Amino acid sequence: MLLRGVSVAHEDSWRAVDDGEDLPAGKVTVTLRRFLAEREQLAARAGEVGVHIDPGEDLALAAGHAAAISTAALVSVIFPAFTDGRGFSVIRSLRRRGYRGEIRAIGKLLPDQFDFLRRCGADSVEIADGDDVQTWLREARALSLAYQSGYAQTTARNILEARAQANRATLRATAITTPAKT
Amino acid sequence: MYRYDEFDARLVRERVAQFRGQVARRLSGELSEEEFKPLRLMNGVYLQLHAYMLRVAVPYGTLSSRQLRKLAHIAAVYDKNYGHFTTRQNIQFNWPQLRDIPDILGELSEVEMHAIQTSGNCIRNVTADPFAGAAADEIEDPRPICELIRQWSTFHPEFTFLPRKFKIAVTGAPHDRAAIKVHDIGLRMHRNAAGAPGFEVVVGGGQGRTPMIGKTIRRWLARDEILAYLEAIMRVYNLHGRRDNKYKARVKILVHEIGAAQFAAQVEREYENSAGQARKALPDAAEIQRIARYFAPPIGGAEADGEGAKKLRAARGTDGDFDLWCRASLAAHKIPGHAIVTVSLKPAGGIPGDATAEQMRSVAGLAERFSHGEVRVSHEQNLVLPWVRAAEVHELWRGLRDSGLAAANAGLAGDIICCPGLDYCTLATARSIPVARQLSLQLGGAKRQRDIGGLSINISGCINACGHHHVGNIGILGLEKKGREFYQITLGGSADENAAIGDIVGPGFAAEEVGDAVDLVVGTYLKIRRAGETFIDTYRRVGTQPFKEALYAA
Ligand code: SF4
Repeated sequence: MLLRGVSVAHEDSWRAVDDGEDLPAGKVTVTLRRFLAEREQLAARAGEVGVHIDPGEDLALAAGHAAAISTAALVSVIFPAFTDGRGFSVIRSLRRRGYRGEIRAIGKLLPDQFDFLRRCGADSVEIADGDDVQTWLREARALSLAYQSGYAQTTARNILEARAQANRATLRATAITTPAKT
Repeated sequence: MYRYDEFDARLVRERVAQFRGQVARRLSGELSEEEFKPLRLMNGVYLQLHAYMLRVAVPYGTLSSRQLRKLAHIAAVYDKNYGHFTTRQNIQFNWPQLRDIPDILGELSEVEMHAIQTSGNCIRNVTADPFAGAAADEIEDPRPICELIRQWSTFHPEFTFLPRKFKIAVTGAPHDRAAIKVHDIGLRMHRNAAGAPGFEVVVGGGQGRTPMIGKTIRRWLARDEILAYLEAIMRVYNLHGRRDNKYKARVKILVHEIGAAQFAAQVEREYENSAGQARKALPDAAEIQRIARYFAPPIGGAEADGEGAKKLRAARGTDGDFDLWCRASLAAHKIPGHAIVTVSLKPAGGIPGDATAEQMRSVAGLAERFSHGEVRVSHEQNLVLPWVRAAEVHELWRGLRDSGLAAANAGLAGDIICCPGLDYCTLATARSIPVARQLSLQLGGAKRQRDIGGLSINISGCINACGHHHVGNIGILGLEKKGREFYQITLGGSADENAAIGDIVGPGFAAEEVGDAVDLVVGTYLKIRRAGETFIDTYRRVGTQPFKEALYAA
C-alpha cells in the first residue's frame, strides 16, 4: 500500500522493471545501472521513467551522477532493513542537490520512521501488505515538534521557529500592556 | 542549568505517551518481544539477565537537586531502593517492571528528564567534563554547546538508524576530564591564533573489542559551525560506516579503514557542499544566547577577603580525616573562595556507582545547602558538587559522612570504575562487581591510598569495555574459558588528554588472584617510582617489564 503525505494514496501506476526485461508502456522504474546505461533511449519516455537506488550498491554511482538522476520523475530509495538508515541520508542528499521529483521510500520500514522519512524529503512510502495503516498514520503525528532546522516541514513543527514566534508574541504582549513612555 | 521551555516539555510528554502505547501493545500481546525490541531500545529499556533495565539520560552529567530527589523516589517506589550511576554519566535502574516504565517516564518528565536515545544505534546522550562551568583551568563552559547538541540530536530524522551507537563528548578545558579521545566524536575547546575559542574535532576513538584513540580531523572549528560540521561527519558515517558486521560498525573502524586523512577529506567535502545551506540552519544568535544564559554560574563572585579559604585551611589542620578527604575530593575552582567537591560513590567493599534512595536524597539536600542545588555525575561514576564555598566544605563533609558518602578515595586506587558485569548484564563473560568489592577492601585505607597516589583501576565484565578497562592505569577484563572466569590485566591506559590504551601484561588470573596481582603491580610501582611520579608516570618511564617480572616470576 502506498502512503503519500500522511494519507493513503491511490495506487499509482509505476512498475518496477528488472534489468534485461523489456520495458512495457507506461511508467517504469529501473535500476540505477540501467537508468545510466540506457539514458538516451529512456529520454524519450520523459516523465515516465523512475530509478531505484539501493544504498547497498549504488552509493558511489549515485553520488557521481546527480545530474542524470535529477531527470528521473521518481526516485525509489530502497531500505533493505529498517535498521539500515542509509536511505535517510540518500534521500536528504538528493534533496540537497536540488532533486525536485518524487522520492519514494520502499522496503522494510517501521511506522515510527514515517515522519523521519518525510522530513528527510520523501514524498511517499510503500508499506508492507500486512502493516496496519492506522498505526502508520498515527505514528506520523506522534511527535508534534522537531528540533532540526533545514529539513522538510511536516506535521511536526520546528521548535526553533515555534520559540521565536512565542518570543515575538511575548514581546508584543508586553508592548501592549506597558504604556509607552513619553 | 538548562530549563525546558514549553516546547522541550511537550516533546518529552509526547514521547512518553507514544511509549505508553507501545508498552500497552506489548503487554496485550499485539507486539511480540522481537517487534517490541527496537521500540523499547529507542527509549533506554533493555532486557537484562533477570529483569528489564531502564537507563535514564543525565545530559552532560548535570542534575538539579530536584531531579536527584526524583531519581531517589523512582529507586524507592519502582526499584529495589537504589540506582547505578554509569560511566556515561547516566543512571540505570535494574529492577523496574515493564508495566511501570511509562509511569516512571511520566514522573521523569515532570522534572525535565527522559530516557530518549540512551540506547539504540543513534546519537547517545552527550557527555562532558563533570567540572564544566566551575573548573579553574576551563576556557569556557562547554554545556551550552552540549545542550545544543542534545537538542539537535534528539529524534534526528536522518541519524537515528546509524550503523551503530554514537557517542559525543565535550570538554572546555585543557585537562580532559571527559575522555574525549575514546569517543566517536570528541570536542576539545581551545583558542586559535586570534584568541577565539573553538573546538578541535577528534573522531574515531572508542573502546570495546577494538580500542582506538581518536584522530584529529579538524584542528580548530568555530563554535557556531559545530552543528553543521557534526551533520557532515554523521552523514559520511551513516552512508559509509560498515553495516555487514556489528563489531566493525563503529565510526572508529571506518576512520581506521579509510584513514583519518581520507575521512577528514570526505567530511570537509560534505561540509563544503552543505555549508551555505547548513550554516543558515543553525540556531540564530538569540537562541544560542538563550541557552547560554541558563549556564551562568549561580554564585555571585569571588570572596575577596580569603576568609573562607582560611577557615578551610584551619579545619584541615586540626582534622586529619577531613584533610585526607579534602586532598582527594577538592578541585580548584574558577571563582576564588570556592571548591569543586567530588562525592565518591566507592565505599570500600561497596558497588561502584551505586547509590541508595537515601543517599541520593542526602546528596540532593546537601547540594541545596552547599552547591546551589546542582549536582554532576562523572564518568568515574561519582557525584560532584560544583559550587561549594570554601568556608562550608567542612560542614558539607560532616553531612556526607553521616550518609556514608565520605570515602576519601576520589582519583585514588579505591575509586574503582566498574561495569555491572555478570550480576546483571546479558553480554557479560564474567562478574565484575564482586571483583571490584574485594579489590577495594584489599587496597587499604585512605592513608595507604594517598601514599600510592593518583591511580585509576577499571573493570569490565566483557570485551565491550563499559568499565573502560582499556584506559584504566590498571585495567581488568573479565573473560571466560571452559566455564571458568578469568581476568586479563592491562597496564598503562589513560583516559585524559594523554589518552592511551593499556598493554596486556600476560596470561589472566582467577577471580581470587586478582587482588594479589594488583597488589604486586602497586608494590612494584612503589618500589621503583621516582619522587613525584604517579603510577602512570612510572609506567611510561619503565614499560611493562618490571611489572611482568613481578606478576609472573616463577
Ligand atoms: S562491559 Fe560487558 S559485561 Fe560490562 S556492562 Fe558492558 S556489556 Fe555488560
